[in-house]
Amino acid sequence: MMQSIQADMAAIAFAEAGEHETARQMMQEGARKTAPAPAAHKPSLVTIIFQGILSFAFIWAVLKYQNIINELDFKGQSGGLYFLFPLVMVAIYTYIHANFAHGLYDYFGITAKKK
Amino acid sequence: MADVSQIPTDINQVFITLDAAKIGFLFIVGFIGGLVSGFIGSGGAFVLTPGMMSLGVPAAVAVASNMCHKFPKAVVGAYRRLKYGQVDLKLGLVMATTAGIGVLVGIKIQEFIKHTWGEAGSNLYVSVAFFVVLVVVGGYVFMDAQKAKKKALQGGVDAEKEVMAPLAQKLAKINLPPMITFKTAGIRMSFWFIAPVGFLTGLLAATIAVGGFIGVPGMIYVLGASALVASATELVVAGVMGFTGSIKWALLGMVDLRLTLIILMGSLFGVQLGAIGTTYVKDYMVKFVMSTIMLIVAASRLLAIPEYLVALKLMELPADTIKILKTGSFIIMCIALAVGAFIIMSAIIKGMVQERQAKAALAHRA
Repeated sequence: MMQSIQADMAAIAFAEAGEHETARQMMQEGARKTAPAPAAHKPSLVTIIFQGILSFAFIWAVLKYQNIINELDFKGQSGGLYFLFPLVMVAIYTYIHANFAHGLYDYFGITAKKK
Repeated sequence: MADVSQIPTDINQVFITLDAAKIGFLFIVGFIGGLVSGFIGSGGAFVLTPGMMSLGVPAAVAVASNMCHKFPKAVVGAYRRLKYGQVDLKLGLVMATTAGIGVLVGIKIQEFIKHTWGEAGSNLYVSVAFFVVLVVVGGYVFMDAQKAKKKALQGGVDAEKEVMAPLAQKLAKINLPPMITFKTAGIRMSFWFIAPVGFLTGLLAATIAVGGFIGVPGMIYVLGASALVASATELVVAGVMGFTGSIKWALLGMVDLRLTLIILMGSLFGVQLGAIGTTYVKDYMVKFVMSTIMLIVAASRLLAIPEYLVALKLMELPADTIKILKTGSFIIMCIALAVGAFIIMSAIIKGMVQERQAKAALAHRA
């Protein structure tokens, strides 16, 4: 960014001094060096790995403590707010795992076609 | 569909023991089901429920766990496709509302049939409904996909652009208030023509658990939406219906969170890949995949019919033959899903390779 501003300022100085050809060359060079900004935000590998670990840890915990989980699922029929337990768990897991899967696809360049 | 009277009351009868093989099976079926669902808006449910039952899961728990995985999967798929500009949220919500009424009526019909002709009568009704709907609708969609493909191959920009179905064109001209405008779908239609499509979607969902087999073709041929918009909007309908269904099953304590999460782990990978896939294919491809799956599933249900005819004493067959037909029916259902997944994956890979080649050629020219 700073380099680009400096190049532009130098080109303006050359233009003001009457060196139009040099100024044009400098501007063109500057334009070539300035890469277009990426269209989409790519998640970092660290974030993806973290989400992946979180997702697998979630499944591991559910399987490790499956007796407690099963009892809580079954308590849905006894009234109260127990019926919310599986729904809330599914919503939390979906948030974690959907972001992980999306990030993973993005990281490997499997993205939607740009129209 | 499993009904309340079949619900086990002992916790030990509800939750099965899971091992690595069962977890692997559920993950793979979840992934393939998600892939198909993300691409055509429905699918996967017709294999997942019998698949879970084949592992020893009671029918009510299989339906409940399937339903509970379906709604977040549909929500994620709908969200992704909303970003690609394919979802008509308004159409989805109107469809979901009328579909809700269809579900209630469908359950009542099921209860009446079961009360009158018993379990076998109910199963026969489901299988016959499955077969008739899939052959008629699937056959029509398949022929239409072939025509659209021919047009697209002949070239030209117009050929790629989908023309509104003739029935939809006629219905759109009828000014029967309330008229509703759907911006993303690019249609203006009377509520009274949308309501039956939504109603039948719900009715079929309550009967065979796959309402999308009516919902998507209905939105294409009756309402005039493109196949891409129809399949994406169906995910909204599935999400709403799945959520209400999940609450009902959770209140009965039948959701097995372990099964739901394992299937969800696979299907959230699949549904996003399927959604990405829709951006690489032409409109007719969605119709082609959908109709292929529908026709293969129809063959599967045809094999299931003799078992129920025997149970109702309308036909005689040896027990071994029935067992073979039953296994064959399940295998064909799995094949339907695998064929769909194969076509989708091939289309995605082909589309991505072509896109990269085009980009490389552009960069080379520059």
